[in-house]
Amino acid sequence: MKRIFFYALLLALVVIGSAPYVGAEDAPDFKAMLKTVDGLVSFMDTDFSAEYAIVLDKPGESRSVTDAVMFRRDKDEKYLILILEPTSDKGKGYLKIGQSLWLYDPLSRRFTFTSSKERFQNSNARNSDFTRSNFAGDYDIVSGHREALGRFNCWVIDLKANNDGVSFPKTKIWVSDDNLVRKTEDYSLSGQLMRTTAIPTYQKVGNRFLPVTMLIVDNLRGKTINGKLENERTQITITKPSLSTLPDSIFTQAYLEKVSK
Amino acid sequence: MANEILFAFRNLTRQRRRYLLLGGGIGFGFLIITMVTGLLGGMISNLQQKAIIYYGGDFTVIGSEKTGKNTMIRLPEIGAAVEKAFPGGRATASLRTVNRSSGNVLFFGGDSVRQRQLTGVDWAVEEPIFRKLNYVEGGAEGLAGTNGVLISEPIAKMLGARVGDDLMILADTINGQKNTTTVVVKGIFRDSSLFGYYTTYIDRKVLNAFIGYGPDEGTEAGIYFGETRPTERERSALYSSLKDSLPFFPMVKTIKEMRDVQDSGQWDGIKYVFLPLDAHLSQINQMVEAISALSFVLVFILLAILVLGIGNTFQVLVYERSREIGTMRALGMQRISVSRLFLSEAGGLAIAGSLVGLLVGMMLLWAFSKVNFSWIPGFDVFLRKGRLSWRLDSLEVVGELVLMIVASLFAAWSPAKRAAAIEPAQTLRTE
Repeated sequence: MKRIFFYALLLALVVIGSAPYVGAEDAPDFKAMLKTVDGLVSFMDTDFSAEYAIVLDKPGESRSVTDAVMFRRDKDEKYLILILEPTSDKGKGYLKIGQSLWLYDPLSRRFTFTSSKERFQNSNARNSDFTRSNFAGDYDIVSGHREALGRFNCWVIDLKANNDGVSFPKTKIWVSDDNLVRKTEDYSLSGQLMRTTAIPTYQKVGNRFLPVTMLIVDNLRGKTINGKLENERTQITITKPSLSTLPDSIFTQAYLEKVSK
Repeated sequence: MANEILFAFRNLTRQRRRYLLLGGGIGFGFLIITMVTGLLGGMISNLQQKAIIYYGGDFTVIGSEKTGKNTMIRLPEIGAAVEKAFPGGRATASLRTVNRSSGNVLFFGGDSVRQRQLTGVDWAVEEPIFRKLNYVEGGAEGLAGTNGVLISEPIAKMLGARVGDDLMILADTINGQKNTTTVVVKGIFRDSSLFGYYTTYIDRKVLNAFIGYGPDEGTEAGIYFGETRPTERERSALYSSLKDSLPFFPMVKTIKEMRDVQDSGQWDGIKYVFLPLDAHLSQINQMVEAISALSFVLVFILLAILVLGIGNTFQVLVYERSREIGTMRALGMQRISVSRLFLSEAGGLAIAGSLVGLLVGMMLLWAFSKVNFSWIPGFDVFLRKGRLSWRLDSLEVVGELVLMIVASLFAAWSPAKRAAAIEPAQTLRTE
């Protein structure tokens, strides 16, 4: 019940606050803004690790919780995610090196290629959601305008992908005045809203920022209950962030095989 | 010989009580043979018809570039070559776009289901072929140029969708971008087999626009021969005509052979593969061959039982009729004639029994074809519009009839020889 209240409050903040913000301001250099946005949430000069709790709520079904530990080295485009819970998936891992992403299954002891665009553990998050932010590099700016989002005054920037490697060809981001992304809407090529993400709070790690909680609402998947569509949603909570240097051996297939035993 | 046949006929009618049981056994045996071969023939035919719809024709033409990837093709030259080989319209060519991807997803009311294959069809050409499917709701009429789709019954159930509902399709474009489009369910077909379950049929041009192909492009051209499957001669004529118009690889019989030819040699531009339907059905054909072998064993067992039954009955008959045989022999009947008499009785019995078995078998097959079997999970692939159909090859029936007569003659051979060896004086002396 508490969680439902939390989601309702979170969405209310996002939705009610989406009314057009009155107050004209000169449009800033959006490209420079995107670079700042990317810079604030990327860890290019340090390694990064944290624990992720991914809670998937499918209407009409029981909640599923995935606990994982993340190791990231943004400057080399590497990450390793090791699944800790549920027990049935324990030992599974994702290893990204450059553009290659492998999924390791400890039962078959096999690595299979997967895509950044695929859903992470069947949740509403994509594998690409765990890489560093690269709005400035992956997207071209279509337009931007000012809008209030709850207590945040934001620039809303419409973006269109300039390459085929990103998960969504069109996206819209709400950037608050502190240059942090507070909300995103992801669209298909034809303009269908596919996913909405809210990031109400960030935690400071060194001189960078990291979401405390992300709420992802799948705008396509859900269940019609009493004539009303209730969407699938995934809440990601990030705890125990660390910027300690990680050994190179972590970002290898051998490491994943070893820790999965 | 005519006399022996006449006597044999008289004996068969006079001793009809005794022969009724034996004839009944032969008839039952032939009935089983008729039903097994008839149903198997119908099931194989239905399976092939389903496969023709799924794979897009009796033959498929696929374009291939040396880069190793199949490439988009256009229809005009292929269509002209087909027309040249079969000017009377015996064969028709149709362009398809087949999008096989794990990223194909259908959405309805929040529910989603993956589709293994989105198949873009030229409805103007293929509508008559799609009418053969068994529809739970709606049909294939009037789909040309619309965003109407055909989906399978299990998929419709999973989504809770009905005819007239709007679905959303999510698929990757040729560049790998996520795209969505809204389609309308126009037909729900009954097919839970590997051919239909995870396939959505949509207008080719609509699919092309959705995933980024040009309107006149397709991934393959299907060549249809209608109800009668093409003969070897027609296949060769078609291949020759195609080869005269476009660069083709040598004829292949399996998917492996196709991959081998695509991997070998050097060429510029597009080179084409001519793929027969059976290439896709190698595993299913193995299953069919196994069923055929099983039915052959069944027929063999039946024949063995009949041979034993006929043999034993005729042994008894010879013993019981030894005085009659002795009298006929005393009146001047030759040994060979006695032998012929018994063999004629056995042959006549086999013909009569088999014909009755054939007739009853055909009646039962007809009755079977009126029963809806679509409730059996996974059985749709063998059905036509939810029903079993049957197919008897006349040559095969004649062959089985000959086999039954030969088996009966073989069974009666030894008793007939014994009858011929009877001495008239000796039998007339004994009471």
